[in-house]
Amino acid sequence: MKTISYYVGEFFLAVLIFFFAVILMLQCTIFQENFMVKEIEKSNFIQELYQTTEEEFSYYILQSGLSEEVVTDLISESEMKEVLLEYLHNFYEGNSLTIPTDDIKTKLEANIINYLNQNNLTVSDEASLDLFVEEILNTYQKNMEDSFLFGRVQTLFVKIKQLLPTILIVLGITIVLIFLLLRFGLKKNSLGIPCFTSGALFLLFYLYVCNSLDMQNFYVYNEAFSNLMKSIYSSICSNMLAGAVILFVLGVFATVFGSFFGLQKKKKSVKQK
Amino acid sequence: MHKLKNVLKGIAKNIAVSFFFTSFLVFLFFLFVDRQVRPYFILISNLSYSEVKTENQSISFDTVEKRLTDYPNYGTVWATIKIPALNLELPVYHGDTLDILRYGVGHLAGSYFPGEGGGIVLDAHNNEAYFGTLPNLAFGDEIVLDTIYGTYTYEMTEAKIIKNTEEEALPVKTEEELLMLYTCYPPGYVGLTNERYVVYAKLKGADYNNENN
Repeated sequence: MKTISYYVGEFFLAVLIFFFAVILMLQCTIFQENFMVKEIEKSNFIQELYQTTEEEFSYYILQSGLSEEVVTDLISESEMKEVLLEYLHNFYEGNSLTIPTDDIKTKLEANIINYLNQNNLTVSDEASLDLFVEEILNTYQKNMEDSFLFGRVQTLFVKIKQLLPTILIVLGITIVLIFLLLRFGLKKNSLGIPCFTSGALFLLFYLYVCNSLDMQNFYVYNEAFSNLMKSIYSSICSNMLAGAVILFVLGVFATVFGSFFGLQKKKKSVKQK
Repeated sequence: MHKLKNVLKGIAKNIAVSFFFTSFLVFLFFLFVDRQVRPYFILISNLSYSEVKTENQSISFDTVEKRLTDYPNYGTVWATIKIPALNLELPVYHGDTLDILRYGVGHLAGSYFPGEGGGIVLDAHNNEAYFGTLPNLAFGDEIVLDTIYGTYTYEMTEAKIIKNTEEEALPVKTEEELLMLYTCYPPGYVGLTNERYVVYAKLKGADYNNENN
């Protein structure tokens, strides 16, 4: 009975340690604002987004009858970065997500007026120019918002983010309780098997994800977003692999120390007898 | 030596039990979770693309069934449009996103291909380099679509100014083959416009390229 209870306890401990490690990994990656900022920088997200937006502005030039200079330098790369980091911060904090367009609108309208004056052009239908300005602003806003597609799941994301620390504490307490129960209740060395098992699960989980997902040529929405996703995926995979190694090493340590500790205890009890 | 033997024995025992636990959990995963998760993985993997080809492809045409057997990839050139009366010659791409329209004429995906007997919708920007000179086209003028599987000659029969929302003015299902050239109206307009100019042309003749049929 004692042996069965021991193995059942070990099994649950292994499952709990695995989930604890997975949640901890998520907590330190996608649910961490700093991680996202690093990934954004690592994947050249801002530069790509800046280029894409400038390029998309130029699509409307061909059909508007205006010159490319009208949409050049409406926003600088550093200004775009500032706006995006603010957007990201608001996303993580659960604040409302908006992309301000007032500055761009003012610049664009001034550029159009300058261009028309310089080239002695008159506009017969003012509404068509308003439509052009609206399209340019929509393109900018859409690129900024859609390139960070997570914005659409903000409510759910923030809820999970708030819930994660509680889940980690509950899991942590349960793990410690089961460990103490096995260690002192059943007097057994109890960390080796769970660490080995959760390490193996982590490794298999990593292999399963890598074999099931083709992220090499992943392309959704635009280059900037796709590269960001690929970078996040690759960081999470590296973390999974690191987690597996750490758990294996912990398993070896726990087993070695457990064996020594067990041997010494056995020797002591033999001597006492 | 005895200590080391015991430690190794302990490690081997733990690994054996872990192997059993892991196998059991993997079995449970494939039994209950894999089926739920796999469609999402397939969906994400399908969003990947290998490489966008920009050169002409070997598309072929079945002259008996009157339809293409291989369709061009989205965003690739599959024909050249020639309008001698306007001295115009442009590449035709499959698809008509704003990105594609920067480089030439777009072909509305979902509309027919030359020789298939339906409505073929081609669109381009309204500046002079593209379709901006379409209003200068006269009834009876020829429009030639030179594809890899044959050369199709059309004759202009009608022209209309429509609203951008009038989708019915661009019918895809037609009784006979109908080529529609579509652009913003008026040409060279400053700003964006809600009006469109459509040229309709009926098939006059076709020269099949035997190698690709």
